[in-house]
Amino acid sequence: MTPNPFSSIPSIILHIDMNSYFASVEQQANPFLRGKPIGITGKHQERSIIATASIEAKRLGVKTAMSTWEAKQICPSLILYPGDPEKYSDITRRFNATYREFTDRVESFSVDESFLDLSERTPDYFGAACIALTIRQRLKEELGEYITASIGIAPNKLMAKLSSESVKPNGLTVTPPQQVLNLLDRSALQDLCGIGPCIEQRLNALGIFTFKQLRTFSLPIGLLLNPSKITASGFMKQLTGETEWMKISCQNHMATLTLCPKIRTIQK
Amino acid sequence: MHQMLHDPVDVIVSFTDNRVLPRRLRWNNRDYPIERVNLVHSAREGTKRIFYFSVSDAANYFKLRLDPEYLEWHLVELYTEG
Repeated sequence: MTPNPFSSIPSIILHIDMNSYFASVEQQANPFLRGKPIGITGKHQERSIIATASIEAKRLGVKTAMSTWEAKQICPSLILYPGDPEKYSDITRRFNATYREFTDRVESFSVDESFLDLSERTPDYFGAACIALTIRQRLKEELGEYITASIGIAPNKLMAKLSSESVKPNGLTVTPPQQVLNLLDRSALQDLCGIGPCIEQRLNALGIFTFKQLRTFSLPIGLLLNPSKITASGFMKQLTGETEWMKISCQNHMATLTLCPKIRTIQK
Repeated sequence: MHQMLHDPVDVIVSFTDNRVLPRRLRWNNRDYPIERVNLVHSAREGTKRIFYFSVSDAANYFKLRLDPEYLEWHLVELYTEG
């Protein structure tokens, strides 16, 4: 039996992901949009794309980055609504400020996602879940009842993100170290942040279709994943939190975050 | 119906718990009692910080812009059902 590489890791990381962010903010601001399929677009709606679809629109098949024309074909009742970037930036600043009430180890990952390191705030996952519920309540007070978030708690950022994405919308998923391999084995390769269609294709070419297969693959796969030069064991190191990008630094401003070095770099 | 506007309006506000809350809006010679303040956000315009109040009554959504330097209110967005 493969030993669980997560069992000795003391970190407790929270990933908070706002659900249908831009659309939820507009539905919070304008109650007449609530419960309706809406798509947030650019200024010129007729030749724009759907930046965010509301939860109701997603249920009817509208997807992010779809052209407005295509979205209207799929969902004729879709309400197109122009986005307001300044509003979203302000709300992002406010929810990150709310997170800092709980820990100063906050890393903004994107406009609607953040990581919180609770390792020094609580000794166990029960405490982390209590903090997550308190954060959810604070978000409701600060932003309103219609802006909801999915929360994942796990031993590192990658797994916390995978956890939060496993239950949407408004989910709370706790993945303690002993459950991490189960979560991975239930997930498809592309569910993991950093594995897109290209890398998945390259992994498939090596006969790797599941995380179980990836764990046991020992040969360097740098040539196939070029230019990332990542090896299967390197991937597993990222999953187990041994690599540097897993750490959240203590800072009071938006972070520069390198996600999976050499795969993708996001700068805020 | 969704309209983007920039009409000066009169607003009666209350100061409660360190917050400014719009209570009544006068626009086009008509009074609108504000039933809910749904969201408040701010944005920078040069050196100024402008506040936006997303409010509603039973039939309309209004987005109000407050310039705290001149204490001027504008109605910048109106959404009416139907």
